Amino acid sequence: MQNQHTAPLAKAQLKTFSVRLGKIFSNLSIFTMILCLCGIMSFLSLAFIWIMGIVIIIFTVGTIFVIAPNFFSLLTAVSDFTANVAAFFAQNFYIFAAITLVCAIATLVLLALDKQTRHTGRIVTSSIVIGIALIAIVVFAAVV
Amino acid sequence: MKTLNLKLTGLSAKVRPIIKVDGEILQAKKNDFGSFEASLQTEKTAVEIEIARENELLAKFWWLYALISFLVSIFGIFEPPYDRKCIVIDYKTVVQLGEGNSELTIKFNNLSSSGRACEIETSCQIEEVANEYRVDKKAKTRWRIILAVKILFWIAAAILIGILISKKA
Repeated sequence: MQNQHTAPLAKAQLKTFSVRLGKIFSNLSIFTMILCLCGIMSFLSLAFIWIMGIVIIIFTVGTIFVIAPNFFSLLTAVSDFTANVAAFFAQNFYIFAAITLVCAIATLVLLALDKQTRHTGRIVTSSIVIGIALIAIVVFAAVV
Repeated sequence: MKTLNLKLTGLSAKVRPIIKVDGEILQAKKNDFGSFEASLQTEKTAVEIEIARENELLAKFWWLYALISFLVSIFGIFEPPYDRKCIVIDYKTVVQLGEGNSELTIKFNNLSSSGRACEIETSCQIEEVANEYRVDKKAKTRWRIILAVKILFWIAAAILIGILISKKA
């Protein structure tokens, strides 16, 4: 038999395992990307809470303090909690971003190596994740 | 030189087939329509074709692969699940090759735990040895072992976290 397309069974099993690893890295990269975005979103939500508080005070012409006497302390408590969350994400942002990039690149490499099946969906998703992570890093570096 | 063009249709997206020709793995490629295609060149007048379903749990180092997957996926949280049904394809045929190009199209039936696996379309003479879907007991046992280990790990982790929290409090 003169065939160029044969491979040993152990190699085929290793390929299946590498596809499995690629899928795991893909799932991980999506999760860590969400954590990266949470870092940015937590800062935005902190600003949003204060804006909403001020809007409520203006629209109720200050009567909110009669309706809810502890309105201001509530607002500061919520904003303190959000600030703590934002601080946690800010502290670990670059770790999450690095994990996202490494996992997404590993996904691309492992899934692109599979010649039997095309993993178009996961490859496209990983490419998007890399793009979003890079933009998030630039935005975060500019803001913080 | 004789050429055999092999086409596998009707396989679900989850199924990755292993095609063996006279005991050697023939690499097939998935086309845009979800069918697998492979081409074989040989001097022989007859070849034995064997089609099996790739199952990670039937690999030689399945336990090592499972362990690495479990650890990398942060204790199984981000791990894609293993095939629960453990259905395998058992197909074996001897194909008498004609001169020049020969076509062999294998149409697979819906995946089930038993029954005929596929139907053949070809102008070549074939002698079917095996053609069935079946549940692989070895893979099923390994699937159960992995599940049991995961459950035991999670119970142990929950107890450990509980102890740590109670000690801190």
